[in-house]
Amino acid sequence: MTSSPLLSVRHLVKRFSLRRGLLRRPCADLHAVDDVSFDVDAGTTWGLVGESGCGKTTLARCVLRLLEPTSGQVLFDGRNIGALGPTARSALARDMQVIFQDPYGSLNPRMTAAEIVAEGLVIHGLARSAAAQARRVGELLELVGLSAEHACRFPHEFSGGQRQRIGIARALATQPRLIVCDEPVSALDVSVQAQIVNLLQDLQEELGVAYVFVSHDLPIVRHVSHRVAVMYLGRIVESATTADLFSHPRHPYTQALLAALPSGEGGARRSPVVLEETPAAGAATNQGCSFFQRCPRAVTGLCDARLPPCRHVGPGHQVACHLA
Amino acid sequence: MSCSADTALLDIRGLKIHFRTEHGWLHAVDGVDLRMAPGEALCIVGESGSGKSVMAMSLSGLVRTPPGRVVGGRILWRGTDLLSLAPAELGQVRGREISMVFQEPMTALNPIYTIGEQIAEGLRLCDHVPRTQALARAADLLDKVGIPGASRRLHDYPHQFSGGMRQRVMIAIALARQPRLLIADEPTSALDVTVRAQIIDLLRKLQADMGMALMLITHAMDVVAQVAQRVAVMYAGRVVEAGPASAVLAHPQHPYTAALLRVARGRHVDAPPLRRLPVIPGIVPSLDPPKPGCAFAPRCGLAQPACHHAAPAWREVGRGHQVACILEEPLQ
Repeated sequence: MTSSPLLSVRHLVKRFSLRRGLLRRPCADLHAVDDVSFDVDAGTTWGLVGESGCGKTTLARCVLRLLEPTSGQVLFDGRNIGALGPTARSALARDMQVIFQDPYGSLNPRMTAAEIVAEGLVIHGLARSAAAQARRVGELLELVGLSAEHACRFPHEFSGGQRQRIGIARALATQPRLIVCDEPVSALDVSVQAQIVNLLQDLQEELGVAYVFVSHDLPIVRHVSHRVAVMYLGRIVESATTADLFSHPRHPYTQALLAALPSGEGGARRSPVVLEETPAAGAATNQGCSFFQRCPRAVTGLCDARLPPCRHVGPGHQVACHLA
Repeated sequence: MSCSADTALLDIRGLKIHFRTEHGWLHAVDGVDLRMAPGEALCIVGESGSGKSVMAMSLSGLVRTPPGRVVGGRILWRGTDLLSLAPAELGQVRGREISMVFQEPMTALNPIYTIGEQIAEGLRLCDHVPRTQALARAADLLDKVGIPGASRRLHDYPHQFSGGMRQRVMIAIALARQPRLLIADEPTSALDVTVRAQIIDLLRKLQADMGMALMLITHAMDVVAQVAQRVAVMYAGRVVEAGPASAVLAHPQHPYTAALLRVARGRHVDAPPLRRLPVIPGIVPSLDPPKPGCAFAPRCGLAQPACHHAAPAWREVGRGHQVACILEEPLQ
């Protein structure tokens, strides 16, 4: 472990007001992200898994300041992002980039691949001349496995996987130290997913960039991540090194997620842990564990009454569960 | 599990479905041959653009014409060509004998009718079952697909159900008229991982209990291993390999099948971690009119010069196991 992490998130909270009725009066708060803290070291991948609606995208967007968090701090390189002025924050944007899930919606259809990749260079004044800019764009396209001849094409001329490569080249243009990847492969075909994942790993080795890798795909997260956190209804319920989390899951939710995966050749699942489905994401926080209603091991009087604190159960392994 | 032509429930021969676009004709389905026995569980595997959904939709007459057009082939349903039937006759088959579950449980239900009404609709309109009986039957169906408190939930609206529960409702609707064939087109893609396994288990159980044939369209090889008795692998509008699931999964004969399996195995969480994930190089082909030769040849590591010249013929490589590839040596 290095002395200070590249990214530190402390007690991050993001609440959305739910409004109802003709006057759109606020009726309840939705805790999309609820008291989340974690660290990401330089050059490593921090994986975040969870099902849809658990708040993982909201968390990613709060880290990038695409959403203003309700409270809590995001420290990049020891500096509190929320306290920075506009100039400092725009400079910081060079260091933090993003790759979005949808390779179709995240590229401007009226810009060529070269213009898309060059935009960051232009905004941050990173290219001295038009020739230098064209050279850099060519380098970037080559870095992600495209060729310079692709530069003048428009997004619709590319396949999904190629578009995602353009998105990656765009993110790399400013030589960031951290890239937030929000479901970067889930819109792609299985055979192409692996190409993009391998590319991201090669780039990490080559450039030393750190990733926050958000996904619902556990095998992919296991493959790319150094550390993994599991999110459930706005909270991180377990976090550990990848090997530790997959071999010794402690939280009942993590155990259920892993049990739902096929294993081995026959595709048989391990011990099926059957989870009841929740009707919808809980709008208001109760005082107990958010997983209480679906948990096969829940203890009434304990789990529904007190919020489980985050406890250390091993080196670098934290669990928020009364029973783990 | 292979069946002869006269006992087949479904026998698709040389089916071609093309779509007209501004840029010319897209060959979405380009010569599919496929056979299903009664009560059989068949998985259709393929990536997006392989034509698997269009092929399945054509069985229910759901391909919009225009822009789509069946340009060749036959779909024999218990001996009758569905493509030659008049709309009224086709209506007798689809919905009653063939029903379908779609990928998107969020939009497939009508938000302004209760679940009970939507399940009972087919029974009331087509079988003229009285309302109360139809609703009672709907409650049975909800129970069968594993929705707790079925008779109470009959009066709920779709928005009161979660994604997995809505998919269960969709399955109940599809089962209402006791079809001989249930087509499920990626029924779990839109669902969370913990729920996916439950829906797959449910489909497998219903197929066995009701003796109905199941055509499950998926891109996940692990689902195939759990459900299928037979499997057909589609690539660029054609079936490239078909056979008993055990044989195809254990001894794939087409390089594309082998590559899909390699990709799937590379992602098993029990497997030792790999430094790199196995990939299939290249991109999924476009649906433009095909060039001569095997469609997979540009991505195939084993391609020979001959592969680029002529489309491979369909070969028998084992009992009921066929492949469209010229490579004779078994792949490993």
